[in-house]
Amino acid sequence: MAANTWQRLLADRPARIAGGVLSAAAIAAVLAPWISPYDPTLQPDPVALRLVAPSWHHLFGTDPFSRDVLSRILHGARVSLGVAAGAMLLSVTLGAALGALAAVMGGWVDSIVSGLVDVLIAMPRLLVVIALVATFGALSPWWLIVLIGGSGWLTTARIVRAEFRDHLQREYVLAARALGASRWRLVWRHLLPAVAPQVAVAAALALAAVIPLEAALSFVGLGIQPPLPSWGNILLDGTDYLTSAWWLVVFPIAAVTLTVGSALVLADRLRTAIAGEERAR
Amino acid sequence: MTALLSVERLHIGSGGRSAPILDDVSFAVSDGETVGVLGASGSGKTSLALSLLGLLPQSLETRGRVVFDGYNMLERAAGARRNLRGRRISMVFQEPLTALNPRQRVGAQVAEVARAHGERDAQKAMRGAVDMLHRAGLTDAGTRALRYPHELSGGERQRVLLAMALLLDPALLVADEPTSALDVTVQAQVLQLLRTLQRERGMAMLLVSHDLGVIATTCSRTMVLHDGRVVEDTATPQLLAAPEHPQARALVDAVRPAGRGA
Repeated sequence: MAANTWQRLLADRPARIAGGVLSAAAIAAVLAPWISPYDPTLQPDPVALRLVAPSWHHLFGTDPFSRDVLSRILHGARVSLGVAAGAMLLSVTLGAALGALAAVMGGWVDSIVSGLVDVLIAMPRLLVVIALVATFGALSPWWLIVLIGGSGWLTTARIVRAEFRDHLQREYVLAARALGASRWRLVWRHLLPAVAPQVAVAAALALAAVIPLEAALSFVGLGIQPPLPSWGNILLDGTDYLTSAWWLVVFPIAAVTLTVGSALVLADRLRTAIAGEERAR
Repeated sequence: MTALLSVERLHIGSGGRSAPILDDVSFAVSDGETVGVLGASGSGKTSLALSLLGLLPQSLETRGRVVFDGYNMLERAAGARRNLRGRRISMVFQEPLTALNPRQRVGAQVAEVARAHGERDAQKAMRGAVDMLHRAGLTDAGTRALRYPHELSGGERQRVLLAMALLLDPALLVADEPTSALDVTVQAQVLQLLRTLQRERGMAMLLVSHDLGVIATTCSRTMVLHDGRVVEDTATPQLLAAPEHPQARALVDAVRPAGRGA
């Protein structure tokens, strides 16, 4: 009967479905080299097998270079979801750490972090990333993670700082201090567990923001470079054939929509679960 | 006998805009002594309790000294002061529901006190916690330890807070209205428990309350706090028989049966 946020989430059908879709996508991405029917970069016959419509041989059809689209989507998931997950982890970790630091230390540390957030949050992220890529040339997936993750920590930092400050005012924190808990023990044992659901919401929203960001960058040719497939550059390969070969456009867009939609549903149901837990006590 | 706790000319300002929260408060508590602090709400009781542990908000300006274990709790370095809390001086709060972490099992919260003071063995800490919960009168402590605060009754929660405060056998317990949030029968049980545990351990106690009945049945000596000043500090029977200060008399008369006035 003691249902905390996580137990509520597990009992929620939309959340389970969304979680299932994301898990399936992640598993497919990890297993891509073993479950893909073809080599995603292999061009077996650029003349005869060019732009073949979906069939039993090629479930998602082939692209202008005769490559198998399903294999490219699966390998693209590795890159797209890998970059998204890495950037999400980086931004949430950075945001939680800096937000916690600002709330707990207060004083000038708080001023610096809060000021930095206020300034950086006004920056248009996509334009900044484009400018950096234009300056330094195409980026490897690792640099893309650093760039996207490093610019995405602001909202998490804000949320964690506000939640920490709220909890620091509560009597149970004072009571814990009255029995000898140190500042960092409070953070570790009381405050972080208290804000973990909110951080998870921020993480789901970050994922939902980062997947299209990477796709957009790759689509305009500034992200993942061919022949390495990503959902964005698969779409790029298909734009010239929009009217004649629908499968080149529909499948990568479906992949982005399904994963982003699942992340958004998860964030929403998590919020509902948090509210439910707050009401219960 | 040297005092365990001695408060010397303690002054707590409220930032200049209004009257000070505490003004020129001095008293001492010896080993094993039980002292009541009686006062209406707003008399500065809770600020006094928090100042003894060095837990006042930093925005408040303090003067004077709070000497505990030979150290000034108002000045001592944060780390050293923290080490005394829970181990040498403990506090229980008025409202056990808000004083407990809502999302942590109560056994873990008791064990956490030992962990915060360097116990590395989690299982040993948990065994100690269950044992302490049992001694604090929580029936079926082994399974109750796995409950969350909102699954327990008010009286049970207060027993959990007591178990936390007494786990490391402190020399002084500061109890801030420990029974005010409880109904009368539970109140009596918790007070009885407090007296028993205190006697077992030879622990000193500072019992802060607005309720003369609670203090009269528990404390050998009583201080009356009014508008941030100690207006009376005397043996409890003496206070009950002949209160000197008008405020003390008002508090005594409030509980004395009508027609038996001094």
